Amino acid sequence: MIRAASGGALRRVVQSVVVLGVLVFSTAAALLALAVLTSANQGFADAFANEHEPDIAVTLNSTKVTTAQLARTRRLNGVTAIAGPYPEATITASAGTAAGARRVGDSRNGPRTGTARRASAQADASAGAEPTQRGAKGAAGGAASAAGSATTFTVVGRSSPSGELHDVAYNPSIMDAVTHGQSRWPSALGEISIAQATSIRVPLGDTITVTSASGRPKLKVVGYGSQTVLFDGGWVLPAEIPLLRAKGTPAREEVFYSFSSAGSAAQISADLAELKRALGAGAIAGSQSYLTFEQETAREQSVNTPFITTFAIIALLLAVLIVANVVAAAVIASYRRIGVLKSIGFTPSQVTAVYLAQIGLPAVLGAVIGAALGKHWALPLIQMAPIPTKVTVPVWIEFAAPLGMLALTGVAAAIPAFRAGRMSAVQAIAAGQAPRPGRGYLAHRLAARLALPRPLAVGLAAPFSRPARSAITLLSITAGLMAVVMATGLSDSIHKINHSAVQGLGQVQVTPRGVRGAPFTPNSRRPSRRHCSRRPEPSTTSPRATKQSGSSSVPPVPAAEYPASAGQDSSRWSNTRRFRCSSGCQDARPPPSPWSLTTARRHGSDGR
Amino acid sequence: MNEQGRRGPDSAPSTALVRVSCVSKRYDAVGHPALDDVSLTVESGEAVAVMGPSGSGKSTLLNMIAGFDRPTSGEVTVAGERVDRMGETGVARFRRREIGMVFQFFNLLEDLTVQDNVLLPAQLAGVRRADARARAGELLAKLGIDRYRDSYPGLLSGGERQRVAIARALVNAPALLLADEPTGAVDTATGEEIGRLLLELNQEGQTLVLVTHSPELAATYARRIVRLVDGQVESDTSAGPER
Repeated sequence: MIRAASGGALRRVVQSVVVLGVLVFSTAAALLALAVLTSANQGFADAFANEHEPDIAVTLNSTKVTTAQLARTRRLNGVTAIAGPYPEATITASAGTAAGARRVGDSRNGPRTGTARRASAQADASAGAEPTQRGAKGAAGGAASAAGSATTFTVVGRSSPSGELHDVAYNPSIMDAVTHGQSRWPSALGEISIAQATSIRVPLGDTITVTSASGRPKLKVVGYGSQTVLFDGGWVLPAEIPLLRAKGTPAREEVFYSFSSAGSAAQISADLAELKRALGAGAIAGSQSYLTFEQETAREQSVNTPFITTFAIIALLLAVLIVANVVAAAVIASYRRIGVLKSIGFTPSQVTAVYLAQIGLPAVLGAVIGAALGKHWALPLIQMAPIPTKVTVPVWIEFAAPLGMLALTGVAAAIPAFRAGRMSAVQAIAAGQAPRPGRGYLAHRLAARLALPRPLAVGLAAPFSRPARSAITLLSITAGLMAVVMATGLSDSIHKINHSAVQGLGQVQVTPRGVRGAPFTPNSRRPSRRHCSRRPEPSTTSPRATKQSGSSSVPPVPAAEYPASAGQDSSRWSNTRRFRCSSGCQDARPPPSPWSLTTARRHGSDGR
Repeated sequence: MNEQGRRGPDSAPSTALVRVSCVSKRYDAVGHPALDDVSLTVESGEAVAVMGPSGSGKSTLLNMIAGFDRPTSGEVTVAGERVDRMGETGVARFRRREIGMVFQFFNLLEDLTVQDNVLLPAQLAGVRRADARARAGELLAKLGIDRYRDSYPGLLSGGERQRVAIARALVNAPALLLADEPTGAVDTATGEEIGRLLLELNQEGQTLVLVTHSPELAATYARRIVRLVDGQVESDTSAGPER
């Protein structure tokens, strides 16, 4: 039986190569899809651990907390780490010079080099992959990057980017497009490093003017920092903070806590209650937990997931259809051989096994190669994608993907192979490759009446003689076209998303051409670049948000879109803003259409 | 040809290897049946030639005996077992054990060597590889084609291929050898050669049922000739040389 099977496989080289190729592609796609689905938030988890991120950041009213009280919180039940206090101030700033108003990557600054484009793409991709900056502490509108406009964000006084908790990457490569690797931590008064997750993009060395502080101090931008949990909007030396506080604003400090139990909103809530009890009434002005950012990250990471999953499903569908088609073709072409096998004593199950084995040899090889490619070649590719996702492949997926594909292939091959097994030897030998009597007669008669050359008419009617096989072929072609259309459309969409983010145009809504609504197109974007009056709008009333300039004519973002974590003072911490463009650019909400795609780059909507 | 009277199941001794009783076969509801109430017995060691014009039901009868097809009515018993009642798997196992089949167009597996073609039924039957190889070697030598054991069938002449097919049919030492037009695809000389080979096999005790168009082949190499016309047994006579 093995001889019969291996002989068949070797005899049909093209068939074997097709099956192998299909299995390689579909297994790699399945592995990627599973990996992305199961590790959607792995990047956040890894970075959270690596950067010693806290579970909770609290803002304290400095006047209501004593050093002793604060020290006691270190010994509270469940507290595992504490960092701070870091003085902080909420500032409203605008670009200080004409040069500072320039936007990196702006086409008006001349053509961008390939390197700049890649770097910009990386920067935006990174922004898309990281938790959205939406708390008042970190929120920084892109208005600061535009001449004359202003935005409000929180700066924190830290002498070092690292500490016991909440490490900041002070020279992230993701910002090379802006910093060219020269980003640094503030080392003197008058210097500021801006959070990468904000949308402020001014060249290093330019200044921003703090319009909310008396004397309108200027801060030289010396760097951009990135953080996993986006608590802060910028960093200065601690001594700078008093100079930046608006007159009459109470002094506040930021303290980070980690707890032994902080895996759920309820636990966070309990931890926060413990802190409140220890610090006394009115001590905590606001708080924010990592959970909100984690959820946000998961949602943003999920931007990739539908694409990869869809590709994987198409790949699976293609694999099934192609394998079924290939095996059906092999069976049809082998009727006589089937008859011979049966005549010399092959049982139906043995004949079925012969045809399954013919597919099995290249299929197993293809699945193994596909799994290897999926892990070692395609994964790095996807991590280089415009919206990078940190993807790891658990061991079980390395087995499940190829085994699952083999199982699917087996099922696809089993149907025609089983049919081969059940075929009577006489029918197999006598009927040869002729279709079943009666099939396609009508189609042939109708085709004969068409004013077409006879050979063409015969060819047109031929698929109806084997309708099942023709249907499989049609489905295969359809699925292939779907993959091609989606791949090209996806590439175009991602490009526009990235471009939008680089240019600070906010969220992107992608809809199929011709669909009513407001599809994102270059034409709809350009006017907004030239004429939009970007006016940040707080979604909720926030002490920090009230300091920002801009109109309040835009309705706030629905609370459901930005769930507040348990125990946080949402009015204090949430100042996500949206911007209405006078020329009609879209301040998009997640579109309902399954075809639609919305980037979850909230900072992009903050003022740009 | 000396007609010695019709033979039917009633006159068959209990040692009959093949017993076909009142078998009819219809492929569709209308039209003439391919076999119409055919009864026939074949004794162990007999060489029976089934003759008749095209469409007379010769191959259909052979298919019924081999278990390739099922009768619409009637019974087919081979080596004491009701072939017509067996399932597909059962008849396949029975066939590999009890029946060897030789086709007009050889039906060898072109991607296997001569030796592998011959070995395949033995391996299916569970014969130990060494024993199977010995048996295949013996048959190939006997049929004069052992020098082609590692060749592929496509490189052989028609006569040589038919010898390979006969070797394959005999490798499991079946009780019954069925041959459907075994000389139909070879030239006259080769046909005679094949005929002599079948005769020799029969002389060694191999039961043989042979479907042929050739009266010469039937007269020369079969002891008995069954003539079918329109699906019915027209005559069943003894023939051939004294052996």
